[in-house]
Amino acid sequence: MCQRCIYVCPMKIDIPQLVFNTRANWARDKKPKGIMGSCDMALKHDTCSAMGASEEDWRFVVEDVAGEVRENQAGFENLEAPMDKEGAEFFLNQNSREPVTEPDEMVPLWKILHLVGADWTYGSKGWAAENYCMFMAENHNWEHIVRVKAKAVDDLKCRVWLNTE
Amino acid sequence: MQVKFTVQDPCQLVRKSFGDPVAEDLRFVVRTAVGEENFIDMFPNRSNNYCCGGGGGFLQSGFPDARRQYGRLKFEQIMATGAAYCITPCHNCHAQIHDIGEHYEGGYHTVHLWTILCLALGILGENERTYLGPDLAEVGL
Repeated sequence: MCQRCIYVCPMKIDIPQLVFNTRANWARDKKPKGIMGSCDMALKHDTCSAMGASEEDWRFVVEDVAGEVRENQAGFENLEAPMDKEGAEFFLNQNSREPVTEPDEMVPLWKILHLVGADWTYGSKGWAAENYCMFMAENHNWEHIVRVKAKAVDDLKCRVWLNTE
Repeated sequence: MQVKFTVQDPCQLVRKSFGDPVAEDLRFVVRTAVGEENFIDMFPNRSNNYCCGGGGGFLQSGFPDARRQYGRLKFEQIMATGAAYCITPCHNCHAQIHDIGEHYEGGYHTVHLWTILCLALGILGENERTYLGPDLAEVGL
């Protein structure tokens, strides 16, 4: 689905769309289980997390990691990872794997945003960057995921939606 | 230190979204961080770069042999640069390029862009260095 074939094709033939339509025609139970499981998990919560991270888990891990940095790293005593900050310029998404499996990997990004003085926020809803329902080629499901995320951005009245993946 | 870096152009960011201008921005940022003489581009590159081979759901699909075979092209492209580090500004590319590097024993390191930026700024914390090699693991601590 990388679209390099379209890029190099003089006729711009859209093979990825053919692949997408072929995927859509497969029976659901024949599709790869890993992708299906990730899509189904994302549909269960308004966080859209394919790893099933809840709003509470997400809030906890962000505040916990940010608190640790404020305490232990000189120069970052005022570091913030804002949550649900209404009217922020940027609404930032995050791949679920970071809060769930390697939360310290979120910190460098926060530091850069802090140093440049960016007005940004995470959202407790719609924060997960991934959308496996798109890879399932299920139009109604991937559209649902996008709408939940877009609503989260609109509800906080943020101007720019930044997707890290 | 003369450590060499190359950079992956993520399909999603470059070819499918913002095109060559964002690839130029990416190179400006990377060159500034690592030093002009330490940056080696892959070939082909920018909008014409190869896919990492892990996108489109491949990483989650349960076909690791096929995925690694597809990623072989990316692996050889990285190895041809001779760079010790491949910077991957996409989570998906990071996971795949890290995996094929280990699988084919390339010996290169795979790092997020934010890791290199913070390292260059001298603000990379002790717990934020998982993907750095031993040559850079202690730098600026």
